[in-house]
Amino acid sequence: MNIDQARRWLAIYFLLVTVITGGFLLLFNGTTVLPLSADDASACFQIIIPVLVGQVTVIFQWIAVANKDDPTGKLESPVPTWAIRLPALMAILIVVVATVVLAYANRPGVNWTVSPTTFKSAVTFAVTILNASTVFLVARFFPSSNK
Amino acid sequence: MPTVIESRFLQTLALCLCAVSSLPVHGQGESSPHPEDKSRGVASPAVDAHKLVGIPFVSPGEPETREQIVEQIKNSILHRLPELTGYPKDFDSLKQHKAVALRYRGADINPFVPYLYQHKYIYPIVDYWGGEWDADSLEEAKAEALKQCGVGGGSCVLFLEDESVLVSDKMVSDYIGARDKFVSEQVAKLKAADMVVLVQRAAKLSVSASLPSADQFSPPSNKPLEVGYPDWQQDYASACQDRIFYALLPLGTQDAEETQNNLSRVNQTGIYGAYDRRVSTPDYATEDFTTPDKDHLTEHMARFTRRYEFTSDAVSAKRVTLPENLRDVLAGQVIKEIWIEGSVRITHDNLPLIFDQYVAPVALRTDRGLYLGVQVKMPSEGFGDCYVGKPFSGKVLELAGAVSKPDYAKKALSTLLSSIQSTFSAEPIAADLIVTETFGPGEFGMNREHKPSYLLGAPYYESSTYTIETWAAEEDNPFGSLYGRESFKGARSDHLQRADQIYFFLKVSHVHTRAVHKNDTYSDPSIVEIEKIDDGVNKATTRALTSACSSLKGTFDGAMCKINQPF
Repeated sequence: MNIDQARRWLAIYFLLVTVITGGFLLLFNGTTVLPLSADDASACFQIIIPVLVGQVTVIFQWIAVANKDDPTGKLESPVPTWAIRLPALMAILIVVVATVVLAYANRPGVNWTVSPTTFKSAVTFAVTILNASTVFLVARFFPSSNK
Repeated sequence: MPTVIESRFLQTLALCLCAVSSLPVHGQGESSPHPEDKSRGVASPAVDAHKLVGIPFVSPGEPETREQIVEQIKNSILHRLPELTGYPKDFDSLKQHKAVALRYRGADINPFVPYLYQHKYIYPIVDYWGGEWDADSLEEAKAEALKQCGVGGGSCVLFLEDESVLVSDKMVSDYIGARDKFVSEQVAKLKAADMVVLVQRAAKLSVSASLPSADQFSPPSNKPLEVGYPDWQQDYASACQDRIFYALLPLGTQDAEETQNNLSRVNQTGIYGAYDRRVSTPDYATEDFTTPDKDHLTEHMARFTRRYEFTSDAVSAKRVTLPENLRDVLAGQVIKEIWIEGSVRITHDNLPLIFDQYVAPVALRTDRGLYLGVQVKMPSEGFGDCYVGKPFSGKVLELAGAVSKPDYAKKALSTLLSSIQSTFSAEPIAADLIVTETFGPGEFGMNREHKPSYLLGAPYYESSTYTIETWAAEEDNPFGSLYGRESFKGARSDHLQRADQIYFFLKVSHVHTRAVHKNDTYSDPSIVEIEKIDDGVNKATTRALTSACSSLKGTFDGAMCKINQPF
């Protein structure tokens, strides 16, 4: 994976995850697919969206001033591919699994103890993983212009 | 068979005998959500009565003018006209003779409804006798009335056609004298009154006697919070209860921190302080109705405290109603926050069944500061004058003619209860019968615990209870329906033996909490959701009544079923 590919992957990842997660929390709370009260959905939104939007901001700040002919983009990424993709994929996997489990646990007859509190904890955990890993890579791959 | 008048006389005589036998009167009644503190083992903190505001017999403002007192006397008489035998029943019948004189024998204060600064508590003793002369003009009628009353109209109140009223100076001074005497007596008795700062009691009880309950429920938020000691508007109450009232303690800053801690804590507590209360008001007011009696039905109760915040004037917006003594004290102030203590009938498994209508003011924050609610229980007056009737409401069945017999009544009640149970077992209520609790005659309870809510729809789950109560009586307001409330439960043959018609009264109470996720904390529905639930329950009740009426070969008009043929 070269640097351009890494940048493209991260940019698309954060843009899609931000829009889909935010839209899902806002539009589907209180439904069968996201059985959360408006307060709980709002709490989850406030946990995850600022971090994601922060990454999107950093990325698009770089894209806005990027030079298409930047020769460094063709260089091999100094960060291994697994380190770029795995934390980000794990984080979103946790959120997806938590959502599915939350919805399934709400079915009559299912005795799982998963609750909205568990879901909020899972979202917090996912954000923590991103904060501890991918956030540093975004800062490296999308440096601000004055650096 | 006694005539109606004879019957009333006998009832009144029985009332008097009952009242005299109730020495000394304790001012407490059946529906009190705030029973005797000593019976609960909570000591009453000392309160300085001089620091309280809102005491019903202490004027909240400037002394009244003569005109204000005359207006109160007028309203007092008009207010009581419909209740008193031998008087014209309304002002129109007074006005037909252009002027009417009411002779009075003195002034008195009704100590059982002691808020002095409203007309209904002024109690001039009047004998109606005027109005028989034939006058052509107002002046002529007035002159005739004055002539009948004697020099200066000394012992009369004159009502004139133009709705003005003439009250002699002597009557005004008699009234002021009677009131001053009453006030001085009550102020003296206030020293011996039991006074409890409600937040302190709640804090102690909630620590020592909190009950496990995961659900958070409050009084329905689509109805105003009715602050006050329960009075004759309650299901079980008597005017004697007005010897108990709430006053306010303006809070000094030195107590603010401890108070805030207590308020925060009790607000987060679930239900606490369980106690049993008797269904009927005791025949003798010296008995403590909070003490269970093996010969009487009891209801298991608990308390809860909640905080409400308001952005506009809650009283004007009718989100909070206050008793007159507190309303006058808080006039001109805007309530920002209120902490209330309510009581709720519960099962022995702590399921909430029925909220009491009235709540106690634990604390109030207005734009001028914080007030703590104080429950004041005045000492006995030494004689009784209790109002013992309480109309039933929610009439649903009428048995007349050949079927107005106890056997038919029992069968009709059984059919009615079966129909409700059957309808409430089906969707959208889909509740299960509560079999672990003992209910009184003509009662049963159902619940739906942490199951999908068909009333609200997916993804909501609900934790709900339904309590069905019925009473059988020969009239809407039978004598003794307050003291002997439990006697009207079910269809007791000793009460219904001689009735020309038998009525059944139905009350369906329900408490709902709901959660979007079944493993979440269940909390109160929103106002929109409450309306949806109310609508579903009302429709189900109507369906059940329709079905029962059909089985009983009656005619149903949408609210009541009339039955007059055997079934």
